[in-house]
Amino acid sequence: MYAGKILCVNLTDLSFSILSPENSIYDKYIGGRGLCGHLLSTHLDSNPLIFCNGPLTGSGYQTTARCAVMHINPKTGGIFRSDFGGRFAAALKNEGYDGLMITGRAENPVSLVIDNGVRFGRVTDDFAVVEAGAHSGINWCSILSDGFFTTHRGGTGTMMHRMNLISIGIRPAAEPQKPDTSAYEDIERLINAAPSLTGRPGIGRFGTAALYDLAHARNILPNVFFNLPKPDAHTNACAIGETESVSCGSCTIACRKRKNGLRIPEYDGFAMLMSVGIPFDKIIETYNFCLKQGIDVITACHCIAQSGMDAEEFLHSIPEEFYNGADRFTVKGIELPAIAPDGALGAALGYATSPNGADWTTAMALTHEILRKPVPTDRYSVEGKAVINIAYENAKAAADSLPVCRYALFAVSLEEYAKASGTTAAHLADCGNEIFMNEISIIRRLGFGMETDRLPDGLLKPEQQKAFDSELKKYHRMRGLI
Amino acid sequence: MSLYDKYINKLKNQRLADKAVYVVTEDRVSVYGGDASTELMLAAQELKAYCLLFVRPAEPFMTALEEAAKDGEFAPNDSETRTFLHTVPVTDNFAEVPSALKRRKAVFVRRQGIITAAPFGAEQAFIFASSVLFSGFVKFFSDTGEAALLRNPCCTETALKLFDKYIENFHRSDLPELSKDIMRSDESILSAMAQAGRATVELGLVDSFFGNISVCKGKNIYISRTGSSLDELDGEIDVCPTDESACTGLTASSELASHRRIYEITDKRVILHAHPRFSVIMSMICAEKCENRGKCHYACTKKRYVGSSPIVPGEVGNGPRAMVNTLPPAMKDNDSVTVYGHGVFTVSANDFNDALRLLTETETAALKEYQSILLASQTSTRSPL
Ligand SMILES: [Zn+2]
Ligand SMILES: [Zn+2]
Repeated sequence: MYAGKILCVNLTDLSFSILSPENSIYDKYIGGRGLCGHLLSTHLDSNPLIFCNGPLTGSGYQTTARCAVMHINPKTGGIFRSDFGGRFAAALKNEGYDGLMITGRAENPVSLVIDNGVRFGRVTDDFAVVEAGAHSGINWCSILSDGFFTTHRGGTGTMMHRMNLISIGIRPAAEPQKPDTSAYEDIERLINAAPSLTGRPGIGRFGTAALYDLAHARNILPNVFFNLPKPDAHTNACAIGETESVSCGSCTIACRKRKNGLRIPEYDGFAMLMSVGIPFDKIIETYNFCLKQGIDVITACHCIAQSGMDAEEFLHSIPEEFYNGADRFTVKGIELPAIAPDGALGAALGYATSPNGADWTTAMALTHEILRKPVPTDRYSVEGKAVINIAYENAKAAADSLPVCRYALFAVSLEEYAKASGTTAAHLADCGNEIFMNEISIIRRLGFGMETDRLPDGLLKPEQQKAFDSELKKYHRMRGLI
Repeated sequence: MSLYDKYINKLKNQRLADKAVYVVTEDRVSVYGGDASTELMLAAQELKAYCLLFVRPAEPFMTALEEAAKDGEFAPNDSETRTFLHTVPVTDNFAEVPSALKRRKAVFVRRQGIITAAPFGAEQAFIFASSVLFSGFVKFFSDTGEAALLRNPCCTETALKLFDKYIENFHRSDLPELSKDIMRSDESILSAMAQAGRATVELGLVDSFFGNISVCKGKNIYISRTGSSLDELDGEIDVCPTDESACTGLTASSELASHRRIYEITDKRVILHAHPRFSVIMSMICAEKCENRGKCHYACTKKRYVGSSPIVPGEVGNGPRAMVNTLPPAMKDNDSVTVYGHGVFTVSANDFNDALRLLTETETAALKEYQSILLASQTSTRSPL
């Protein structure tokens, strides 16, 4: 369950120390994202970079290999919260730590190695590794984990560059056995019953880029807000052909895909690149170039659309005026992800209220508005979405803390994972509420007031905007923010 | 009409409930469907749940549920419960409702009814409640039937009484005439699907939220979406290319893979799938003491039938235990196949008339077989006067 220790590394004097949080902290914040939030909140002034695993890390339960990461967003001054797959989280747990908190700045570029102790030096081959993307200029540079996985948005790579931290390597843990429990079976049954995960057209077969066809059919691709021509329907995930599946670890969905040694884009990347007019046969190559460079594809495509520059030209030599990203379609300084707000109003509300800025991985409205799980909701109606979003924001915050992958939530609920971790869904949801509200209090301290909970002007039709504003007010009332 | 009223009406019109009340908590509390008891309001308050639904089941469901809940929390073996509900907690005391709902989606309060809490609102609460109704009913009748078959009968009198009540309220064999020549156009296919779906629900062969339906024409499969209601299919059909050149099937029924395979290996062009209660019950009644007992839902190897519909094991969706591996091969030589603890699939060549007829025939056979098991056990165990 828990190691009970956080490894704190100060790069300025290359020292380290151990923090042992009280049990009550674990009870309240679970681990993963929640523990990251607690550490960020209590060490905000030292601008730390924080990675945490959770109580289910290394348990062998489905989709529990995600590593949570949190820090002040170097692009916006707000909060950066994300997670990534690979061996990093389990390796950290195996070394005896629930979290890793890095502060300060090294005089010379260093790599941090955790291998039965802490040292600074070359990362041993085949260690679980997190490295900063190569582009050290942009303020939205991503990381690369195990040379393949990354976070949903960029910023952590920039943090590492600023700290003079090249990479972090940890001796990998053995792959956990799958638990022989009824909770495991219950979860597996739900994963297998979900067409979006394991169905023939599901993300387990085609990767999350499979969502492109639905987004195309529902007219919610980014070309809508960029006001660019709609990309072709036939150049989709299926057109890439059969690929090789890559598991984030302990995952029976394995939605990350590879072909000829290259990674297949995730939904947001695929939809963004298609929407700004990258030719289909260049998509994979372009995506992988960005991956290595740490170029966040969503932000990059906003810059391309805003500047009107040729995409290839932009990516190979990003003009300095875009080192802080684009500014036309942002919430709290973060560019909209690849779902147009006017065709998914619960998602739009989620963009406005996420402490992260425009982000669909906080309220997850895509799940019910587009994928119809656990039940379909009317995507054109914002009414009633406040209460659903709050429940989902809390559930997602708890899931990120266990940790459980966001895609598992397309089919599995907290009820099943609660059973796996010996608690109840209601308790996890309460923790999720604490975790979410803690992030709200962090962004308040960072200067983001409630007035920053808004969509960029002109994205919704006037009558949509009116209903949106009143539901947003309801959201704030129900959250106890007004 | 609000969504709440819509689902209250569904529960009542389908004769599933005598009473249904929603307590909805947003920034204020609203009640739909009549008065909410003080206990229900207290539970809503303690849970801070968005949407609470209380259902007092109509007969014969109420008594069946009471019987299924005799020994407390129960875990029925039907596929719906196994996949989504896991177990149904049982209590005598309203005060224990919040703690049960912190753990599970629905709770049964003896002599009162079902209470469910749903973060997604009216429809989800309705689905949870109708799942409990279905699974409690199926558990009582399958347990009783199996006990009778094993010559160890219990509750036979109650079962027979409820059975008669069920026949009186629910059994209909008057088949409506469905559209013919449906393959003319997209519109004729979609309207034929909507019509067949509605008829299936009206005949009581499936609760509205469950089941699925499809048509294969040329390079496309037209299939009901996941989470759609068979009696409301307008705008709820996905068109999936059989060459798998698009992922639009992401929102299709979770049985798309089975439907697709059936079209591949047979020359049938329409598929109808429902959960007729006694076909599901009969599929689970087995007197055999085989080594796969307890794994029947995915590993049964016995050759058994409901009427002339062969029973196959298989779980929902995909994966090694899924019905996609068992159902399509059985469909090669049979136009009606029953999936253990789950429901019946029927096919026909060009419109839904045969498929619907086969579905009712399978259910009628199940009812007859069930009744004869109960009657046989009754005569054999009654002591001679
Ligand atoms: Zn079914
Ligand atoms: Zn068996």
